[in-house]
Amino acid sequence: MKEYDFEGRTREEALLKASEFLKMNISDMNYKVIELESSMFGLVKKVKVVVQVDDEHVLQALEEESREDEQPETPVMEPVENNVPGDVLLGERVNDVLGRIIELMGISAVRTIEETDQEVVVDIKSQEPDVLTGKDGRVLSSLQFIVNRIVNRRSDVRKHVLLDVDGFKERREAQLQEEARQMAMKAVESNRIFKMGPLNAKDRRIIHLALKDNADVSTKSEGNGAQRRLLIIPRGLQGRGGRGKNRGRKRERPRRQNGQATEPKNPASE
Amino acid sequence: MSVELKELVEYIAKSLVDNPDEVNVAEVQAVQTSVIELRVAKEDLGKVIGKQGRTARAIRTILSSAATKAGKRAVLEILED
Repeated sequence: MKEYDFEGRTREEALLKASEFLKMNISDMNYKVIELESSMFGLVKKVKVVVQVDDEHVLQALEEESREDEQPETPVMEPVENNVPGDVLLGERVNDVLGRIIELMGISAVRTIEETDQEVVVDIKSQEPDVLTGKDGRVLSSLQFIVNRIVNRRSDVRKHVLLDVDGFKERREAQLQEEARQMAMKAVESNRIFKMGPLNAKDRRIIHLALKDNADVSTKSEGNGAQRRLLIIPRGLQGRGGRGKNRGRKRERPRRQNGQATEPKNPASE
Repeated sequence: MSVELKELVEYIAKSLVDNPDEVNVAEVQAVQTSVIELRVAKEDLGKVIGKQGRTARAIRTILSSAATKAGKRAVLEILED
């Protein structure tokens, strides 16, 4: 004899699930009902039904089915797990590497790690959050970049590591959105194009999105690499945003001349 | 907890390269500024510099933040072995 559990919001719901899974009529089942959660007014929110099955044929059919079910059930997870030697999850490695780096930076911090099959999400709590985030979050992005590089270096399993320090990213986003709104107002009031300070691509994106639905201004970026700046353009001035030169997106690479490679490489001088 | 600039660079570099045994870090200390000299095997140079110097820039940013906490300035020099 075997017991199977089914849950539902009502007894009927749980029994229907049981009937479907066991391929038995409810009237043929031998079951007991357990109320799992009930609200203040005595209304039952969750019901568990425990069905006892002793029919050999039913049991055999179920066993065969579960064997068949096993493979298609976890199509994503399985190859991933097989590639990890000794089933080591990346989260542990992330924790070790990050812990060591933070320690050598002279900081004590608590870390919470959540791992899915695609990501490792780390939240750091520290007495000195500024040392870990830096002005404009530059230190935080650098830490995230380096930790990603280190943990995804040799393994076949690649997971994106996302770091945050006590909700910094969310606060930073809110702050940029507010800044964007103020800049847009100033731009409209003065009827002049407003140029933002240096921002990384993610931060520029936040501002583009924040002003996307603002009918009074449009946004665009100009310049290359570290010189790239976001412009907030009042409606009246649209179409002459870029001041001539260098208006489009990134310029194309320098063309090769007669098949000769241009651009001398000098990797050491960053 | 104390800030260990040399060890910080050494740990990051060793974790990034294929030949950690060939990573050498020296610290030259001036009054307020530390120069951290990082030497790696030739074939690992790309690993510590990265595409368009992105890895080197990230190491420098982390190093500077740690140095600032210690009330210092730090400069990272990457040298070929």
